[in-house]
Amino acid sequence: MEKSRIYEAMEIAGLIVRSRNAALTDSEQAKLSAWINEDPRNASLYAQFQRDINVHQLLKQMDGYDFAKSLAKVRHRITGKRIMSKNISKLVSVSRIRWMAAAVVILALGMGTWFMLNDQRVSSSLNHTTVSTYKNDVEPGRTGSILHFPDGSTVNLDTLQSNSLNTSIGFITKNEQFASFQKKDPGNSIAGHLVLETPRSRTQSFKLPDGTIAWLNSSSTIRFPTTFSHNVREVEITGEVYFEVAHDALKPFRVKASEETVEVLGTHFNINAYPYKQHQVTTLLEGSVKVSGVILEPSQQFSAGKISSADTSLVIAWKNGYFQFGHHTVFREVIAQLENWYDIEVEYEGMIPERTFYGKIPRHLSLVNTLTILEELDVHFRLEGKKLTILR
Amino acid sequence: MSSGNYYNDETCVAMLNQQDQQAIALLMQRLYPALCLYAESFLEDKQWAEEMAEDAFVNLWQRKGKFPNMSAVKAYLYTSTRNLCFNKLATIKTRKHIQERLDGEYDTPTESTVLRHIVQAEVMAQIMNAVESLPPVLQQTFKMAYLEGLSNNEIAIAIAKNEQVVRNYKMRALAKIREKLADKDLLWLFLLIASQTYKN
Repeated sequence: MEKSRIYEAMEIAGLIVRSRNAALTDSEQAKLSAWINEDPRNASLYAQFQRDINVHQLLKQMDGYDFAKSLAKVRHRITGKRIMSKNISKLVSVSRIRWMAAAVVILALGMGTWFMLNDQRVSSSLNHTTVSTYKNDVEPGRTGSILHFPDGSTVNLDTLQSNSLNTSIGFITKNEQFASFQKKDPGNSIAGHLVLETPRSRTQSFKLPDGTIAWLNSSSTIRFPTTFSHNVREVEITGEVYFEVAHDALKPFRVKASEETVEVLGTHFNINAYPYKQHQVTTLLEGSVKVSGVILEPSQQFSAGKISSADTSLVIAWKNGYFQFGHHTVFREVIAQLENWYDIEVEYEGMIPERTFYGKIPRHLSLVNTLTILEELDVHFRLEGKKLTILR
Repeated sequence: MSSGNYYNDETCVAMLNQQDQQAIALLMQRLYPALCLYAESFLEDKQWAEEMAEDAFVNLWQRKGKFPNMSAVKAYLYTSTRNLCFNKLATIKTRKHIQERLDGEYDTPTESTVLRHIVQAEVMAQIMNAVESLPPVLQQTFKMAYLEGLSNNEIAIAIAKNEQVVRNYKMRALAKIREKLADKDLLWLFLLIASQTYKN
């Protein structure tokens, strides 16, 4: 076995550890996803590390090894002498991790490592005879979108051959980072509105005429003018969009969504207006926004007339290439995200599991690999074509 | 009492390269549990696993090699342990073939499986080292809380501080562990030689 493969394995381990405690860079994430996608057993191993109890059990196992005895034996063998026990304790005293029976105290610390603060969760390991069956696999979503013009014509950005396209109204360009549209005639007259649409299983980052960048999750749209007016920048969205608004003190940026309109000066925020969410959720990351007459501060969220604090990394995990589920993520919401990203239909054989999920899964995985990870949580599936059934 | 000695990875490797025996103790402190875990993945026997790990460290010493960094040391240990485990499996297989068992229980694992075992061992090594590198007071509180399942009240009594202090220690311990595990540098920065040995 080549040494390089050993180093790769060590690197993957490092990525798994870091992914649970920090944000990975794009290339790190790609590396980890590639490894998970390589083999279902890799996906299973990754899944194992999404469950605290597995980590606790392994730590306990490691604690059971007799370090002191082994150290003494090794020292004896390499020096050929007996080492006095008092020398050992002078050099190395080992604190051993001890467990009390099965009690696992779990506490929540935001994104958490494998040790969390507060929440008492009893992980049940049910004895299941249910087994998942996968007749096929489904590719994950990718970059792509459709740009709709005022005259009704459309341009499909993923099938665009070159990196730029000349249309009657303006230029469409795309690069690694984002796609954009630049109006042709430099005058200020508004030639109409464009609508950028991401179908299911697609995501797109797009630069608006003022330099603002919008990231669209799947099944979303943004409607914007070819040129913004002189005193305000107004757009309209459906679905889920994350904004990094270009600063312009003279022209506030307004986003109209399903329920509330969000007004900003220059800032980073996420609006989730998906139907599966009972109410529009507006989350502020940086800067300042006003929604429904209320001014939000960073890490605050507005929904159905109420402000609350948000775990921002959880809210924009999608934009960073992850599904991330927190302590209050119900099963229904997990499924809704899968439906959008993999473009599948979901059915329940029995009751909808009443569980909350906690974990982080890269979005670049194929559906079967993602489901293999979710199986760790005692849920089982049947996949046929694009139809997913949650088994009893 | 805590000796408060800090050795980073570079120092440990340098000590090994200079044939300083203290290096073996330091390396074993960091790598022995994970290496045993790795060996047990193949052998499924705790005692054999410990033996293989010991042999690997002895091999490491006797090789008298010059290792460029800690990753190279680990790669050597994983390779050596795997070879030792495979030899052991072959021995077991030879003995077992006299019996009727044909279920391939002792078949040589594939390279893919071997690499997965390395991934698992390495992840656990990092987590364990993060816990072990906590300052004594935080480490003690952490272990009482998470590993022994004591309540804040019970810990407060045990360490003769009030509950708010205990909560504070826990928060700091978790933050430090998380910071450690989020670190870009995959190698250890510090080895804190812990003061307490907990006896059952």
